[in-house]
Formats: sequence, C-alpha cells, structure tokens
Amino acid sequence: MTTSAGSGTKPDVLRGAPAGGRRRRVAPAARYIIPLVVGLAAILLADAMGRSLANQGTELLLLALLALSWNVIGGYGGLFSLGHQVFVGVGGYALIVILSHTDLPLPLVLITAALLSALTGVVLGYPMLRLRGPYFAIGTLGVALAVLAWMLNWPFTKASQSYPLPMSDSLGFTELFQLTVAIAVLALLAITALVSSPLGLRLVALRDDEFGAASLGVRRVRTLLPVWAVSGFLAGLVGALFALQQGSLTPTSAFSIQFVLDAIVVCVIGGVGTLYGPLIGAVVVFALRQYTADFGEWAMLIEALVVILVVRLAPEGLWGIFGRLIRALRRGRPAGAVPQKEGTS
Amino acid sequence: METKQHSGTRGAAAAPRTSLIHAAGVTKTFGGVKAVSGIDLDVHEGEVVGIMGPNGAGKSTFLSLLAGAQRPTSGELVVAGRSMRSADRAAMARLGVGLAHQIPKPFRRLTVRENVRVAAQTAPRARRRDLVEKALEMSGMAAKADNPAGELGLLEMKRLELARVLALDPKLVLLDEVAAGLNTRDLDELIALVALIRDEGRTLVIVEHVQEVFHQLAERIVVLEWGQKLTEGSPAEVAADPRVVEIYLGESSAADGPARRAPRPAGGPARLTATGLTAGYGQATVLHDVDLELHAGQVLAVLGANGAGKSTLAKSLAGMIPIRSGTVSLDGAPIDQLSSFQRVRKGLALVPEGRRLFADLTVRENLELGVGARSTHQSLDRIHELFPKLTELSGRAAGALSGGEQQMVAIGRALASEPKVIVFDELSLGLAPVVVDRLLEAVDEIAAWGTAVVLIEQNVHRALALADEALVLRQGRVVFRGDPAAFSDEALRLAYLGTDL
Repeated sequence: MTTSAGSGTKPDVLRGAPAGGRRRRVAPAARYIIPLVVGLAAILLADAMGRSLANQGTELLLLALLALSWNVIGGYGGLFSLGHQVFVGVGGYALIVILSHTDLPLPLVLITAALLSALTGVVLGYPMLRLRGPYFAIGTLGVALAVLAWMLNWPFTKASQSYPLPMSDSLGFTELFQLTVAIAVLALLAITALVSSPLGLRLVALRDDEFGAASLGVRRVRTLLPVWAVSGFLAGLVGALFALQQGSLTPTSAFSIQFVLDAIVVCVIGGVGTLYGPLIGAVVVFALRQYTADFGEWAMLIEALVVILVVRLAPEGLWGIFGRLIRALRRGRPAGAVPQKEGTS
Repeated sequence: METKQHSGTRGAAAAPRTSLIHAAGVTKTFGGVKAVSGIDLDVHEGEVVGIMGPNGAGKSTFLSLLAGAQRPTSGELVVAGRSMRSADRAAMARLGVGLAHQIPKPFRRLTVRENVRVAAQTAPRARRRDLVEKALEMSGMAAKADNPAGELGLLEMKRLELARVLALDPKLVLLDEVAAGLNTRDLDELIALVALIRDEGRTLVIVEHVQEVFHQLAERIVVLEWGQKLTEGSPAEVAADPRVVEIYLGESSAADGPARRAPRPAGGPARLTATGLTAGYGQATVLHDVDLELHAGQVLAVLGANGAGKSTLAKSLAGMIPIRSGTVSLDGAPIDQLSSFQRVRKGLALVPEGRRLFADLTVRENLELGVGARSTHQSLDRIHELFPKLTELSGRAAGALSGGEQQMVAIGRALASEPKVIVFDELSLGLAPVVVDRLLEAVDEIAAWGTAVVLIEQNVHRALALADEALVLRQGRVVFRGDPAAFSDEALRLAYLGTDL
C-alpha cells in the first residue's frame, strides 16, 4: 500500500503522501458512520428537546436539505439552477393532495411525492439540461415562474387558495423533527455515495471542462439527467416536509423563489460543491437569522453583507477554510508521530 | 496483465490493413472562410501520420473534424468506421478516438487517478481498473496518482492528458501540438512517451510545430496550407520539397515585394527597449530573456517558427499579458507595470493577431474608438491618406469587410492614437499576397512618419526586406539579432525547420 512505499529512509518525501493516503482510506467509512451516529443521537434526544427547539431543528434541517439538494447539481454539476422551488412545490403539493385523496401510509406518500418531483425533473431536464451557464439559470427561472402562474390558476389544487393538510395526517413537532433528521441523514449518505461514484466523477468532469469530458466519452445530458432527478427528489422531500410542518400550502408559499435563493446563499456561505458546505452554511445562516430576527429589514442587509464578505474573503466558503485548516494541521503534525507509527508496523 | 489485442499489425507483411480514417474532399467552412478545403487522406491502422503547416493552415480544424468535435461542411469523412456527419465528440471517444489537447486542462478538483477514471468509464466495468493503472503506469503518473490534478506541473499535465487518452484504450490517438511549451528535456520525455504509445500498435495522427517530434515519430507527413493539402510524403521527402520551404519562409524572391525606400539611420535615443523580457502562460514560460532596442522610424522584424514566442513577445510589449521578469521602457520610462490601455496612452499601440475589430460597428466607429488622449480626430485624416479605401468603406460594418480591409481598419485604429511605437502581430496572417504587399507598403510609410515598428510577420523574406533590424526567436529565446542582410537562408531554415532540415 501507499504507506509502506519501501523507502522509510526519506521521511521528508513520505510525509505528505501517507497522510493523504490514510485520509482517503479512513474517511469513506467515517463519512457514513458519523452522520448515522449523529442522526441517531438527535432522534433519541428529540423527546428531551421540547417542541420549540424541535421545530427550530426541523427548520434548520429543511434549509440544510434544500441546500444539499441544490448543491448536487449547482455545486458538483456547475449548473446554476434558479428553479428548485418547482421541486419543492411539486413535492409539497403532491404530499398534501395524495394525503387528502387516499389513505396511504405517510412514508409511502413521502416517497411518492419526492418521486413525482424527480419525475418533474426528468421531464423538465430534457429541454433544460441542453442549456448552459446563464441560459440554464434563466431557463429554470422561467419554468419556475410559469409553473407558479399555472398553480395560481389550477382549480385542482384550489388555485391561489390555501390547500390544507388533512388534520389526521399532521405530525407533532418532535415526530416531524425525527422524521426530518432521518431523511436528512439518508440524503447526506446518498450524496456522499453519489459524488464518489463513477457518475459523480463524470459530473465533476463535466463541470471542470465540458469539452474535455466529452473527449473522454462523457455524454452530457445522460450524465446530468439522473443527477438533476436526484436533486429534484431531495428538493421534493423538502417540499413534502415543509407541507407537513406548515399544515397548509399556497402556490406562493410552496413555489416561492425564496427557496432557491436560500439554497444558493447557504451553499455560497458554506462552500459550493463541497460535501459538508451546505450543512455548515445552513447552521450559519439559520443562526444568523435567529439572532437578527428582531432587527427588521436590517436583518436582510446583514445577511447580504455576510454573503459579500464570504464571497470576497473565502470564495470557497467556510468549509473551504475549514478544509485548508485541517490540511495545514495534518501537514504540521505528523512530523514526529506518523513516521514512528509506520516504523513499528 | 492487460492483454489488449494489438489492433495495428505494425510491420506484419501483406496483412491488409484496415482503414481508420478515410477523408475524401473534406471541407469545413466558418462563415465565409474555408478553414479546411477538399482534403483527401487515408490512414490505416498502425500508421503514424504527422500534419504540419503554417498558422491558420487548418491543422487543428482538421484534427477536430477527425475527433468529432466539429462536423465537416461537405465531403466524406469516416473515422473508425463512423461517418462524421452525425458523430459527436463523446461518441467518438467511446469508439476509441482519443484526442490530446494542446493546452491540457485536467479536471482540477479531481485527483490524477480520478481524472483517468473518467476516461476508463467507456470500457466494460471489469476492465476499468486495469486500464486506469496501466495508463498511469505508462504515462509515468502512477507515483502522483493521488495528487490533485490542479497542482501538477506542465509536463505532468501533458502526461496526464495522455494518460486520460490512453485510458480510453484508443484505436486512434490524435495529438494536437502536445509538445508546445516544453523545454528540450521535457520534450525528449514526451517524445519517448508518444513512442511508447506508438509501439503498442495504436494509430497516431500528430499535429505539431516542434519538428523534432516528426523526425522521431512520423512515417508520413501531410503538409497543409490554406486549408488544402499541399503535399504528402516521408519526413525526408517533405523536408526536401521546395514548396514546403516556401510556405514556411515565404517566397524566396523578395525583389517583387515592397522594400525599404531608404535606409533609416538610428537617430537619437531608443524609443522602445526591453531587457531580459521573460513571459509565459500558466506554468509554461514561453519567452526567455529577450533584449531589444528600437529607434524612431525603424522597423524591427520579429521572426521565428510557430510557437517560438513571437506573439507572446507582442503581447508582453503591449501589456496584454504580465511579464515574469525583465523591463520594458518607452522613451526611457518603464512601462512594464502599466496596463495595456495605459501603454496606449503613453504611445504604444498593438495591431493584434486576428484583428479583433468591433464587428458590428462601422469602419468609422472602429477608427474613432482608437482616438485616444494623445491624439485628435485629425489623426484620422492621415489614416485615410494611408488607406484611401477606408474612406469609401467608412459606413460599412467592420465585420462585413474582407480580411485585408479588416486589417486596414485594425491598423488604422491603432494609428488613431498616434503611437510612437506600433506592434504588428501577424500582419499578413490569412491574407492573399497582393493584400500583404499593400499592407507592407503601409508599414514602410508608417515607419517613414517616424513611428517605431515592431513587425511580427510570417512572410520572412518580405519582412526582412523592410526591416532595419531582425530578431529571430527559437523556442522562446533570441537566436539572432542584427542586420537583416547578415541573416542567411541557412540560419532561417535552422530557425524555422529545425536542425535536421
């Protein structure tokens, strides 16, 4: 393996390599186990949290989940979607409509709602994913506005009126929090698996150099479509959970452009195209909004200022800074410790 | 170990070799320009074919047609059994047509191995790991497999580019100027790697300016000029062909072209001086330690083969790219830290390669945009005297003009700022000989105004006839600087065609 490398006489040369090698071998397992443990702990502790904290936790997680969803296609795929609110809205309305008309169990309805959202993604993806750069952004925004206009006038979903969740299906704050934690953890694991899969490699390749990727046999739409659908699936889950949390939906609440704007702000602050950036970003944005809640319109100004500062000072986001710190620490530390360990093994 | 069937049966006598490329009358036009015009070419499995020709001859366009990156406008082109009328780049890559780009652009945020893995995904799942490891091994990148690709040096990036192509397990490997920007030692390493790829029996089509690559690798060379096939033959045959020498050096009889009207003595202090000028792009240093000195009214001809650093010199003088070290001064004052527009204000104007006109603006508007702080609209009168044709074209959109007319506008725009020094980058590129003569006459006249002229020109003999001083670049270094008359044809051949020719 990489650690032995046969030449223990040259610790200087080896110092960098084994650290990288070890990180690569240990991390994948930890990347799955740590979220599972944290998620399980949160679910178990949920009862002790109280309703208010649980509700806040749900809101935080929905923000994080939304950002994770956007980050898959916007960060890893480099496709700047301005239309993710369509997925949220479809997921939310699908959940409420299905629950209102059938007696299906909630988990099944959740999955169906998310699948419908993913299906929307597939249908929209065929034309949209042929667009690039700003055209894709404007195209998705246009679709989102068109869908909103449609929803405001569609009698089946009560047009612009509020569509309530059946009372019998509403969840308690704690239950909803637990459900959201479970879904967020599974989503994170799914994304972790996705980005290190062959599909994830092709996705990043397309983002870094589309022509180069094509030169290596990567077919653009074929690669982007499943990822776009996954992103739609996750945003659909956000919509469904949002519907459960709100108890009712209107087109302007479920298809609000605020969803995609939130997702982008969170990703930019946390780190676009990084695995944990959206999580960190969600925590920061959520905390910021809690603290500035009393400041009225100043709150928006402060948030905008934070975004500008991050873009200016840390373009790779907070996770980027964090990652650099960790690498610097790793590089500094092993001077004494690691070569010894290798010598003994 | 990998047991790839050698598709090419190199040296196997009498075995009928399958055709990998069949081109008949292949033409590609961009707008009204024929970049590739009626090319016939057949390449069989296991062959190594080189494509050479001057800038703008259509080499890279032809290669991109072979790769499926662009589609031919007309003609028949079949590559690896697939008609290129409908193929796209990804499909061709999956058929085993690998293209190594001139400027390697790895997926920067992936590791070296991940970069290669992307390519290997075209193979059946079971073979992927072997393909990746073998490609890393062959290209010498195995030791760096876990490094982020964005942190590689230039040679390593070129190796990675080849490793990615190899991971496609390609039948046909297309190399687009892979030797560009490498120093001599790196070049040898790269040639050794390409030879290794050849020895696996893969078919190669190599577009290259660096002649050493051909001499060591190619069996057959196709020479393109003006998008057409000029000749085809063994490296020795091609090198001996007087037409090939001519397209690189221009017509040998300079007598019928414009010449210096009178010697222009170097009077007064130097207008433009550069010392130790070093510049490049990214990790490639293209220009090393160039010194030059130019007086008012003098013409300096900058010569050298493609990729020798001529345009880089022009750009670094004009401030289009930052210099790495050295100084540039105008009338004794340093200008190397100034941005390009500040240099224009100080009196240094560039006529850029490819003209870069504002296509939708009229001729008059283009010229007026050139009028700057140092000049008035009166400067335009002088331009109309120089190119009377521009007066009648005044209201036409610049984009609708012919190439020669556009070049006149570009020159006029540069002159509108009343520069003390004017730099022409590839003045005659892509223009017909008659037009070139007209433009060179204008250069002579501009010098007669007292403007110092830096002339980067492909038509060597014509340029030398006009010049007061010649500066010859080879692989980014000055190999000759002095009186153009003292510069022999032998020295020219050396600079342009390499030692073996």
